[in-house]
Amino acid sequence: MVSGIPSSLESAKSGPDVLDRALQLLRQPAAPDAESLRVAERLLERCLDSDPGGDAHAAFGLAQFLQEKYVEAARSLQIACDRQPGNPHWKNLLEHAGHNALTRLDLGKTTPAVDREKLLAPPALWITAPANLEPPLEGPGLVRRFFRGINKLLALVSAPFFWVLLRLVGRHGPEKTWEIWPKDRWHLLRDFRLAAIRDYMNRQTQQNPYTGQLVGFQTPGQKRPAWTARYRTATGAWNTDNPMEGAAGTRFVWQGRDPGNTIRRDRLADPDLPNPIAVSTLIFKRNGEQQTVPFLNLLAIGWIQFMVHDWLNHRQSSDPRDLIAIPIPKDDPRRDKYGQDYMFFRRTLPSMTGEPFAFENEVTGWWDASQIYGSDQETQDRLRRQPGTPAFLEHGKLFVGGDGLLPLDPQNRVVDSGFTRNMWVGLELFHTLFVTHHNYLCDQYRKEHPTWSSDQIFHHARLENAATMAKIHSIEWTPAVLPTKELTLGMATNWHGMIEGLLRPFERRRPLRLLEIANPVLGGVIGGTLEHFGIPQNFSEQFTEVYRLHSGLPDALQIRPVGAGVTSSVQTEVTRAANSHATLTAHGMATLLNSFGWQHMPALINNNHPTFMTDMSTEGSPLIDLGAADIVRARERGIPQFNDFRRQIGMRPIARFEDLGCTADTVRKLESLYGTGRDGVERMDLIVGMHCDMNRPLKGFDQTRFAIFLQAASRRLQTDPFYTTRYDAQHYTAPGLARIDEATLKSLLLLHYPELVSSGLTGVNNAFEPWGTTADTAPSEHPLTVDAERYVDKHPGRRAGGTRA
Amino acid sequence: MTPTAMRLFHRDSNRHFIVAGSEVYADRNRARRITRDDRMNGSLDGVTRDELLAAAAYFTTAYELPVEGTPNVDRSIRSAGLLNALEREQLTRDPAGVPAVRTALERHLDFFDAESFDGRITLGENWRGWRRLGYSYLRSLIGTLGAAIIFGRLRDRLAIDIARIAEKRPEKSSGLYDSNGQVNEALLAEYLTAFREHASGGVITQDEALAILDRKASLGTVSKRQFTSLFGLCTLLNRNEKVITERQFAALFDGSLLYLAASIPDNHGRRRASGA
Repeated sequence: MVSGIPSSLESAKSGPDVLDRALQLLRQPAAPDAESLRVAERLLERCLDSDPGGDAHAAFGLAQFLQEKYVEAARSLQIACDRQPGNPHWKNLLEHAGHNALTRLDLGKTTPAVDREKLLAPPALWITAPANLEPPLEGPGLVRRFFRGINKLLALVSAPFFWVLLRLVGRHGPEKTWEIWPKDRWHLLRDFRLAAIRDYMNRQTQQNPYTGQLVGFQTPGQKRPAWTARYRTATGAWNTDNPMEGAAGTRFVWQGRDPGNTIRRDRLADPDLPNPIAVSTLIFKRNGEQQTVPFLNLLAIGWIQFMVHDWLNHRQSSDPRDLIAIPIPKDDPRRDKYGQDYMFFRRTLPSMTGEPFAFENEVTGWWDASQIYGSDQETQDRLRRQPGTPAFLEHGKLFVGGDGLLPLDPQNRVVDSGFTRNMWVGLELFHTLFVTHHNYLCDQYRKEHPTWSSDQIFHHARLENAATMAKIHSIEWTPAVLPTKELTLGMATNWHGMIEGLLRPFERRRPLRLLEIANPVLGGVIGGTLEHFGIPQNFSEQFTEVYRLHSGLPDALQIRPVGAGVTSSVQTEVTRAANSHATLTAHGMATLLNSFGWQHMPALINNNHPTFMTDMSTEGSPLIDLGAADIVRARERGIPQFNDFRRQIGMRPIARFEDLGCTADTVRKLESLYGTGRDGVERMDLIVGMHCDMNRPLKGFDQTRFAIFLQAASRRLQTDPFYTTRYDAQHYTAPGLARIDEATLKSLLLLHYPELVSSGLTGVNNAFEPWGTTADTAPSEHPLTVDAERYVDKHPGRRAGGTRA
Repeated sequence: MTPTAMRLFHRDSNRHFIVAGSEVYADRNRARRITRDDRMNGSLDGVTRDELLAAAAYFTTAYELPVEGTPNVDRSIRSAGLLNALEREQLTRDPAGVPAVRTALERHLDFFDAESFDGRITLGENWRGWRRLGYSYLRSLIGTLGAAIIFGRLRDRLAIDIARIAEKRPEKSSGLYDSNGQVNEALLAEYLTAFREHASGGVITQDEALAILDRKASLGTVSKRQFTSLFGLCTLLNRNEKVITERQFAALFDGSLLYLAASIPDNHGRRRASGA
């Protein structure tokens, strides 16, 4: 017997029996069997010689496709299509295989196993102290210390006032406050209502995954390495005195009023919930043109993915048997196209303790730019070396090639950076920009402090680079996405303080003033008091869920060189993984940034997913529907359905699908999936509710998503000493703080890619707004500039500054 | 203060050791005492002198205070706490040596002696110990005075002598500790079983915990007060909820609860001074 081929078919050379048998073998059962794919491939190989209609080649290509041999699959499918050009399934599959052959998803890296012993040992063992550190810079002088005292005194005096105010504006309870805040006439009152809700959420809806013990089950009494009070560590450990707080490999927080264990259950096993693939097809798959947001460009979606990769990631199992099988609905054309009954999703890797519904964050849970520096010492060190050389680069720099682009990881041909999963060109743009900026900062520190060691420069540049990202996200990206007065002031409050936000125009605001009330609202979170609200920092499972924004990605990118019109179009799917870098090399940073700046971002609404996401491939999964994957993830991790999710965070559940404010057609779709009446509404998946909810007082997205965001936006800053108690000249240096104050995404882009000076970027105040228009030519595309943010100095004569498009 | 002598426990051989500087001493006869004559060279029951020295060096490097039970990286050797100044002197001068293991009560009290590590808890150390646990000034004052009056001696200016604490213990035995002052393991196992039976989401209420303790052992007024006080600490740890986790429940007995509590930073991310 030929190895692996059943004896009944061994004698058959070729023919319909063999083809049928092979196709049967390709149709994977709920427990997939890789061996059957190999056998089918060998059987089909025998049929290729006499295949005038191309059926054997098509099946052979499918067998190769399902085994992630995309280059070979494309070759076989091309022959099949040549012989039967009219077959739409084959053509489609050929296109899919061709894309995967370009992106080389077959080279994908497996998720490294969790080293339990290492995670439980003292984290100081796995971080390296910077060499040749000079003594810390001088602390604040007498005058500054005096004012610091005054500021604290003012905070003490204002605290009772705030306590009363928040209770007064939130006296109706969170449910009612969520409903009334958008109706308030004064935006300042709207902000205070939101502050009251945030206060409630901080105190009532956070749950510690390590109740009563140190994060990560660490042993007490550890010695803190002194240098960790000055710089961030590679793993995120020792950012506070809780050794593993926010470190890579520690658990996500749970958000909700009731204990997580009473809420979390395996919803994949719930027979009352509809098939995730069916949900995706009806709710996420787009029917016509992709709808776009008038006031956002594509940089906005690339940016948020870049940020999310800094904040969180759930590891997925690399075990090919550890899969979730979801049956493909009977009438779904993908059944025939791929000859499959099931779609397979890799399981989320359970906690190292094996406890159910406890998952660990693969990356650091701090806003520390770990997506470009890595979440472990080995990665950080590797990025500081020229590939193939043992020594670190001079002056604290990260490696960038001679072409100004990042190096490639030889294993998967994706750029080598801190976190590179799900790479596509929209992400690579930001990785490249901020690595370039890191190196620029190194040059600045070298000039300012010629005696500093390479390590010291590296760590300072990292601190500043991370803070620059946090600032851009807080006061540029977020207001751009939610361009309203209350949100803009709210975010200015987080970074600069409310007084600064009310009194000064955008460019003149500063987070640190000699005289400012040390209150997180009046004086801002930045440079203020560190506050945990009793729960060590990490991002929450709920935060992960609300940042599923796949509908914001386009199907194609319009390539537009600076100063020219659209010259070509590239399908987004082929800008992924290994082909991301090729795309960047082919067009260059300036052209791609200009293209992203012009193109509008697709809207975060139902039936707006890019088409390629309905049957795409990822590393280890030849066929997945990303909309279905989003639902599978939430159900697998025990995330409550939409209404329960709202109850848990203090929002009123909806009573009818119509309450979402969506179209009658969408209501019909929801009813057909989840059933009618109250029971149907209760069954609705979280992500479905968030996409269909059209009650959007803040414009960019719905209130449920916003609730989680509202709390996390300040908490991730407020819990981090490097944004609160250590955000000062002693830790960042005075020129470092000044650079952060001056930095915007626009200024960074113009600094590193001066070609953009002839682009539309110069005409906008916020780089996330469409570059093709200005506030004067298209006010509706620049609501932030027109209605919400004050870019112009009301008293320009007093000081220089303040530009308006 | 840099520890110069520490107790170690080797898991596989179930043996106790003391590492003092570059010397290693073993509880050769399993007599639960280690003397200066028990100096160890080479290996004993599968553990070598070098491994013990390496473990001690590891604990000294990675920990300010290697609390009893802290494992080394491969988890083969556990710290059994530091020797205080009195014990270090005893080891070198007293032919009878020192106990191979500290009693649970001594470990509990060592927390308050972590500054001078001389075997005596002065009023100041007592007060700062309470503060390290996160108690308010008033609560710390009450705790300090209460402990000093019950366990301290007037002629020592209300300092508590750890070595003589047994004399101050209530006469009525609760049965929680054996004659060596160690946790009654059989009783502890029963408690933990009862805990798991009552637990919901990994926690039980403190009333339930006290009821479990009271059911299985006869707690006198002092013991009850002490447990109530320790429960108060759990309330602080558990975000003001009057519950207790399994880890905390076990830590009540082995003397590690105080160390655990003091190691958890406050809302401002700061750990109270360790005292070590």
